[in-house]
Amino acid sequence: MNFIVALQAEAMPLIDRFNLVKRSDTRVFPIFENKDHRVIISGIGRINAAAATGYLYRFEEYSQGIVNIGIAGHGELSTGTSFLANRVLHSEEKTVYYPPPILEHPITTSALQTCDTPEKLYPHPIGYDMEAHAICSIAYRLITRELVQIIKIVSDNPSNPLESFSKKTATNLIASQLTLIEEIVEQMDDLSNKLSPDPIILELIQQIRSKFHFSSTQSHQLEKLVKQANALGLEITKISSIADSADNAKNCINSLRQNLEPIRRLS
Amino acid sequence: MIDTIYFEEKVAEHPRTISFFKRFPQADRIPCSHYKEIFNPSGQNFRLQKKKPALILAKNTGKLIHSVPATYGIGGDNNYYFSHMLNCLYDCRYCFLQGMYPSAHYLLFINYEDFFEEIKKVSAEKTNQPSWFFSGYDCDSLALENLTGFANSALSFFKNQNQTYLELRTKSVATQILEKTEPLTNVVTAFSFTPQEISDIIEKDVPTVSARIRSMKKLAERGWKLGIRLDPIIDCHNFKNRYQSLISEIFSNIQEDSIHSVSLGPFRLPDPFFKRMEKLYPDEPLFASNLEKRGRSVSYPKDIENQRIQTCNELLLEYIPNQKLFHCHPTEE
Repeated sequence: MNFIVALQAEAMPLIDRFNLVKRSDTRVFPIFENKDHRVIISGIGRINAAAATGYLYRFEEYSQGIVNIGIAGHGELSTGTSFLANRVLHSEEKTVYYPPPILEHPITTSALQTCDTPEKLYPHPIGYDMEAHAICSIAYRLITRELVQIIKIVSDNPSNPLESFSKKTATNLIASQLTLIEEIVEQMDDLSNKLSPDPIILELIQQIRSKFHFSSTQSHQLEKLVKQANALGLEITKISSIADSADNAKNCINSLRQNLEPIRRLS
Repeated sequence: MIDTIYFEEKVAEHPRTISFFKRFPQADRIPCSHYKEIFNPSGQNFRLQKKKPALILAKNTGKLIHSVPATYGIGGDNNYYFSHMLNCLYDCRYCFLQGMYPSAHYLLFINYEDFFEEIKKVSAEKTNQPSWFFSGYDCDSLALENLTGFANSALSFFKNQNQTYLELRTKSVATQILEKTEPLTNVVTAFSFTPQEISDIIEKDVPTVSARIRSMKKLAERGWKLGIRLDPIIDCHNFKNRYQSLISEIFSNIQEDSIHSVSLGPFRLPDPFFKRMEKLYPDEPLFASNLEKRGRSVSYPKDIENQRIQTCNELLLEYIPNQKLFHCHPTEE
């Protein structure tokens, strides 16, 4: 999972919980990572958030979902309450984003308005942050919308207005929601995995490709045939043995095609 | 059942919107300016949304009634379709909706009366000629009746129409509204079928064939006219036996005189829809079947298609006269 947070203080609980280590080759935005998760610290505001979102996807291996986590003001909810944004607005932008409601979790939901300066009047019963709208604007171009979610934890509201920023408070608020964050991340990872190609099939395709010289068209044909073979229930060992018995790329494709022909009907 | 309701601000006070809010008090209510903000954007995943679709309440201010291709009728010359709802409760792997819409949310147009006004207007243009209006192309006409009450409203409207006919197409057994209404001679409830073994594989959440036949039987006994739709016809192992058994089960329960029409339609999908669906479900055996691109559609090879249709044709003619049997041809052929 990719976490985008504005501040180091917000990132600390995630870095500690997931044992993330700082990447040494990223000078534009700090990234902390392990095998499964990473946190990018964007800095405050829309421009930083948009740039960090785009920057994350320079790394091909970071193709999973995005969760934007951070503290936020709210016109109604109590401090310490976490909420999932269901509508993300910006007063000067026409586009409103609606993160798809696919998570099964009884977390509070709320609209969230991204502001260019901290909102101290809380005019509506909604959340106020400084990044989410920009993150959606970029992330929605990069990955499917279901895999972009915004979780905020209320740090200030009309009863406890924002007076000064406390790093310790920010860290504590995020830390208090780590269990919830982990549950949401687990669900999103499951969804993301459903969309990812089967690694065993991908490896098999790679293996077959390495045996012969496939032209670009043949390579596409091979990929399609192997995926179809798998969908039709042909065992991996059988697909592999068909490929093994071929002596060139053309022959391999023809042989796969012939073997699929009799099973291309629903049983 | 419904955890999230999006609603256009302009329908916030509509009695149907209010009734949905009352019915689902726990649902998250999210206002929007226009349904297209939620339904239309690209970069949504139909497969993921299908696991937990939201309800979108909107007013359709666009074209409400559309012409049906000339090759799709069931005997009438003037054929139209309309969609008070987009997307379906069921999850049929062959369904074109997965390839057509970016979102799997249920989009309900709550201005039913505008549809009826338009039907009246379109019908009036064809003086003294029957006009057919097909419901259920972009959704199941009855599956969510409990929620939408659309069929209830439609029956009240069609009750007072002459020369204006309605087909309610469905795979549902939610036929209670018809069971408690006096039958109308200008309304046909058409049930779609594939053999049970095929339905088990590719029609997720659809009631069993037997359950649907039981619903048909109740409607027939009440005096409603019924349609049978074998569309799309799905090629499979043991094709003849499976379709024979399906057709035999239907007609051993339903008398021929209750049948208004039977139609047969080949499996066909516009090529861009097929590509999207194949990408959504790379593990789906149906999409790895013996299909080919013909014109702008993806279908079974012509010879297979003809054989399968011919088989169904022969099986059906054992039970119904030829004039009740119709064929839906893809428009390019």
